[in-house]
Amino acid sequence: MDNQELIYKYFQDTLTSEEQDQFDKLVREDIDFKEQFEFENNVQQIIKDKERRVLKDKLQKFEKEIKNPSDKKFLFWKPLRIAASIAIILTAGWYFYTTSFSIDVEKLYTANYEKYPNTKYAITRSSNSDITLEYRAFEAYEANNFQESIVLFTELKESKSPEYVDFYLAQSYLNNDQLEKAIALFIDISDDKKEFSSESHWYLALAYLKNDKKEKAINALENLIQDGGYKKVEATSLLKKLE
Amino acid sequence: MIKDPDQILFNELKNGSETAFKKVYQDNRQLFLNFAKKYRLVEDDVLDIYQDAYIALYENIRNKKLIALKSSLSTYLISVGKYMIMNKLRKNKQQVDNESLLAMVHEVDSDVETFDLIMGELNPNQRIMQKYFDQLGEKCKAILTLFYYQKYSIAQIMQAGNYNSLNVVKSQKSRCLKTLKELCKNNAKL
Repeated sequence: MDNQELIYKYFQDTLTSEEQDQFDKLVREDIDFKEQFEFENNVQQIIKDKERRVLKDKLQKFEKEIKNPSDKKFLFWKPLRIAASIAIILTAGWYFYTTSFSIDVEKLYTANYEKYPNTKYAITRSSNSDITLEYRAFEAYEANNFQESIVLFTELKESKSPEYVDFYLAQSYLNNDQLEKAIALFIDISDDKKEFSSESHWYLALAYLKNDKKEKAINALENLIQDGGYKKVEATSLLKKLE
Repeated sequence: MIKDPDQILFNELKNGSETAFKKVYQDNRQLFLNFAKKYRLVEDDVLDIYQDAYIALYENIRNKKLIALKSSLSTYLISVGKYMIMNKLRKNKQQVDNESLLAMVHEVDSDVETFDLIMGELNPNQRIMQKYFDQLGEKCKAILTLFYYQKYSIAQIMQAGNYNSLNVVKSQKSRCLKTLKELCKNNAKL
């Protein structure tokens, strides 16, 4: 293979391991090759830096929107503003219509519940020796196989108990309709100021909701809003719907 | 194993959708900030790391290092973020008297170990080169960006840029590199 082809493949991430050896050897021994490679490598770094700056600017704009959501409304074109007001009146009307006749608790639950993602344990294909209890627990959890994840997290809790096991066990109970158990765990976690305590307030409220304990759900939401924690905006809007 | 909405967003990101780019950022922001709390970093730093982690994940999706989702997007973001937090903690050595904190972040999660996660700054030489890069024509910038950043093959560039043949793309690319090299050389002589 000629030298140019090797450099080409390097930048395409398609060098085989033999080609990689040949490549490394040339970088060590052939000055022209080394120079050409370094030049192209610099080109790559330059472009990366430019593109990243563009992306970063975009993200900073999103941040501004998140932090000052009010800035945006002055940009609306007038007819659009009128249309928006009409839309708001219609939605508000629909809202009062639906809420004054029935609060469908189950719908509220499904609209608000989202399974908490696995942020603890990276699941990837790996050799058998890596498959630990924790791996199997999170694998079951990610696959929505909650009966199994309950068994595995419970087992994990008995052997070594990192704080987060309780949280994911509670999530599994909640999904498996074992609400009393979920509630007990969420109360435990949220009281203790442990990891996930803020998140647990939110899920506690949802667990009460699923269990048809409206007053308790309201109570939990009020606590969450007071603490200003996880999902505060969603909690405020859910609270309004419940009251 | 993967929820469908995540798969849809992943595909949209792969295709460069701006809407998906914004949505995934917004959807995972709070989750990430909560996750990072335990490392006791300044809030501005955490946001900065979240943005870098997000950019790194996005790049690895766009340049096809990540072809298929094996976990959820949020799990990937957390893995990348963890790695970057570790680097940050190492830099702020004064804060790393806490051994248990460091122990939490001592290695890269296996789902992202093949990612390109280095977010280094340019060296002075590269910074000068960047000025000359900016002087290149739009066509050159586009072709080089597709090749070195998006990792398009010559054939894919041919398609994307409406070129007539592979050879046209190849010679165009080497011409662009040559122009850039000359710009740099001429300056070095001055």
